[in-house]
Amino acid sequence: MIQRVLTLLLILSVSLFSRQYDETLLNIEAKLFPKIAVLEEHIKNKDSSKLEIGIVYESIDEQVARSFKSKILKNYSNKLVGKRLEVSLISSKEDLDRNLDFVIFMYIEESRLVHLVSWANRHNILTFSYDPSDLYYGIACSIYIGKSTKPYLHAKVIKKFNFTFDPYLLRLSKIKN
Amino acid sequence: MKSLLIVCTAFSFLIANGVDELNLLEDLNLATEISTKTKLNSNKTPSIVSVLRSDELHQLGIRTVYEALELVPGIQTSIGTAGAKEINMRGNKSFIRDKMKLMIDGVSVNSELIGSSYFYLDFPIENIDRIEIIRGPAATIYGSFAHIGVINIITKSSKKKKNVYFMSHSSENRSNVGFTQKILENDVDIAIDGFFTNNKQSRETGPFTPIISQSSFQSREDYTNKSIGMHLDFKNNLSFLSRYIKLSTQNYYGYGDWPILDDPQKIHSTSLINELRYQPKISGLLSDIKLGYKTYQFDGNSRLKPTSLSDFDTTAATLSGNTILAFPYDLLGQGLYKEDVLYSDISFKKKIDSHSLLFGAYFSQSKIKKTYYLTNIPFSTTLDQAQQAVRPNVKRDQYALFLNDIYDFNHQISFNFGLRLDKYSDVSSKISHKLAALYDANDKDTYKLIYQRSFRAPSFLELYGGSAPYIGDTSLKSEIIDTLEFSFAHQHSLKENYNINLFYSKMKDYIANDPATFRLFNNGNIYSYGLEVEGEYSLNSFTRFGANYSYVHMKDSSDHNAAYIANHLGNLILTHNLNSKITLGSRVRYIGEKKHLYNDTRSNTPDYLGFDQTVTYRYKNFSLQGSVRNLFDDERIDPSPLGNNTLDLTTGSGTYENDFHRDGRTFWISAKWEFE
Repeated sequence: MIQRVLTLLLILSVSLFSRQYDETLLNIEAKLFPKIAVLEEHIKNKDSSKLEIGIVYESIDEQVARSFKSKILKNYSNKLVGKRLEVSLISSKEDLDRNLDFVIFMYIEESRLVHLVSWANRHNILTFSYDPSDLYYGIACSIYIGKSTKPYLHAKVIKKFNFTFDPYLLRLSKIKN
Repeated sequence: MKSLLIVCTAFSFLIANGVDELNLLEDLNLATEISTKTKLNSNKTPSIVSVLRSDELHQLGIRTVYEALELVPGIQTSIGTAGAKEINMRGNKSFIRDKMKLMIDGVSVNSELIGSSYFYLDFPIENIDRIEIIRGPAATIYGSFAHIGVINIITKSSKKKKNVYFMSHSSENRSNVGFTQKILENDVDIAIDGFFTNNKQSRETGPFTPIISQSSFQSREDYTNKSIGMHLDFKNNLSFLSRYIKLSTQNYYGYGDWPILDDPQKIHSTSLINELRYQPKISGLLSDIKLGYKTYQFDGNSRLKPTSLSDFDTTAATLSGNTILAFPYDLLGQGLYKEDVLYSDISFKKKIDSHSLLFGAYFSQSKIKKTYYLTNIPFSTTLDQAQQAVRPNVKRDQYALFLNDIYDFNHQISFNFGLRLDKYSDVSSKISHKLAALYDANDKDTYKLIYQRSFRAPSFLELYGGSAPYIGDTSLKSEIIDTLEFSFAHQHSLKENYNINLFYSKMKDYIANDPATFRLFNNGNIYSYGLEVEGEYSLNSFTRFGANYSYVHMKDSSDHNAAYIANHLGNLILTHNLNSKITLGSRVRYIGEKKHLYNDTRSNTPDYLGFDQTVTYRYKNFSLQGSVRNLFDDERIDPSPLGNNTLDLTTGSGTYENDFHRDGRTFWISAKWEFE
């Protein structure tokens, strides 16, 4: 009996497994990410009537990415600090667009994530991650869920790529060194 | 870090203002409140909490709350008298009543009669957003019934975001159909939900001692469960919730654990809860004012003892000059019990410096509105013998004051102090308290040390029960449980986390039943200790695996190991998407051997290793699902009680020699349509 169960588990364990997204966290991030982004000086002062956002996803998570996009647009009725929001869904296999103001990474395969984050940083595109532990890969911002919910900023990345945030935001944030 | 601060300071002079326009601080406070409310940050709070989310449960083919709870370490399920579903948390379960608080959207559904809430365990996963489970005493926050744990079912109708229609059917003839539907939005938000479950099932049970003329019987397990609920959200933080449920069930292995014959009877549990809630913010105080009215009714018929079997109590019949009548003139019971509860609860939240305070008061008045119980006394054809199952016209007033403080000593260390005083009109006043320390070592590692004391006031049946098999005692003392827990949590990422909990509990004045006299009495202490380990690990960004294991050891003052519980429990869970349309969910459930009573010579029931496999196909908002439970048809057996194996009509009890067998391999198909 045990052997049969273990055999089945082994067969199943070579398949691709799903990632689970937490609906509550997606809601929180859809609300906070755009506000954090517009507190970055370059984005805030950019002479443009629109705010261009990219959501990078693996094909298996396309539905989640679509839902995340609708949450962002619903929160801000398409506008934030006078700028019209434009949200693009970008497959992880595609390259990023240099015109993006900031990009949000869902769960992405590790080597591809490292490549895309590195490219975004080099081109001064602010990066956000759904999972705060992905700051490890050089992403600049995420959300810290602890006793209090806080913006989660990656100090080394922010300094190295010259992102400049409003000090008010920095006071409210948790800083990862 | 220093360089970053310099950069920050420099820019503070350069960057223009306008930040407040964004209301970021308000958003962060709201996000913290939501994270706390949904238990998203449970690793960073001073309690042991598990959260089961509907989507994940659906992928595993889980159909009801009852099935879902088995995924939580330390929880095992079984069936009790007349098929009542039982939840056993860390080995704790009463002989006759639930000791945990079950709430639907924050409203308690437990009855005052025996604390029961089993009628809500059929609640379908499709109508649920999530289930929050607190293991261990939680009375300082949750009050009455939160003796060994709390289960809070959050419905989709309370969220008012999704509409759902669903149906399912199993090879064991169980069908479910239900819905959640938003009715109105804008000025008043209204959502309703409902479900109907129909189970048609019977199974053969083995020989029953002392009846020897018939070698097998049927456990008749038909039941229906129907429920409808409504949520209204008005503007200005005012809301109203109403929910009705009625469970009608056959007698399974018998109401008094005696087998039943060919005329199964039905017992009904009906519950109605209504709560008006107002949550204004007054001078920085977050207020929560609740006013509620609940009713619970337990009624129906039962076939108590099969006196018509030819070898039953012939001596008694002869002595009384009667003739044993043929079926259906067994010993029958018919009764009705109805209670009403009116309650109010007011609490306030306030953050003062490093203190997060919660304080408030509670008042309730519970009344037995109606009760009667009739039997036929053997060999009579009519139910005309009035007995007093529970004393009528009982009233209980309860007042409580509570205070809870979470004090952030620094950014790493927090302390939690909780105190609750409960005063009852019919039992002595008691204090529950909690002391906890939380050490947030770094972003990933958290340590918790928690000590809690909760008490459980005797239920109406325990105090005022009037006839066999439960004869109450108004001098019963409350059960008191002291629990010490240590927890370590490591959250490497959202995809990878581990928890380990160690606990030790001592329950004083455990309420037990004397099998010879049926009197309820305080039976000394029960000690338990155990371990719970759980983890979620991603082999790579695509590969996910979940597992948990729990161990519990429990013994009484006489050093007898606890009966009916498994010491070892485990789950292995795998869910995976083959592509964006097809999801596979796999689960292995292990339940260790269960012991009989210490004086029962029968060997332990065998351990159970079940494998469940589910395939879900999604097309837009529609999903079709097929699943098989217990694929290898492993025997799942619950231990049966040991009777005194005598035929006496008053004190005689018997034994199902081969215990209680539960479902083998079962196939399910289901369909769900979910849209916003």
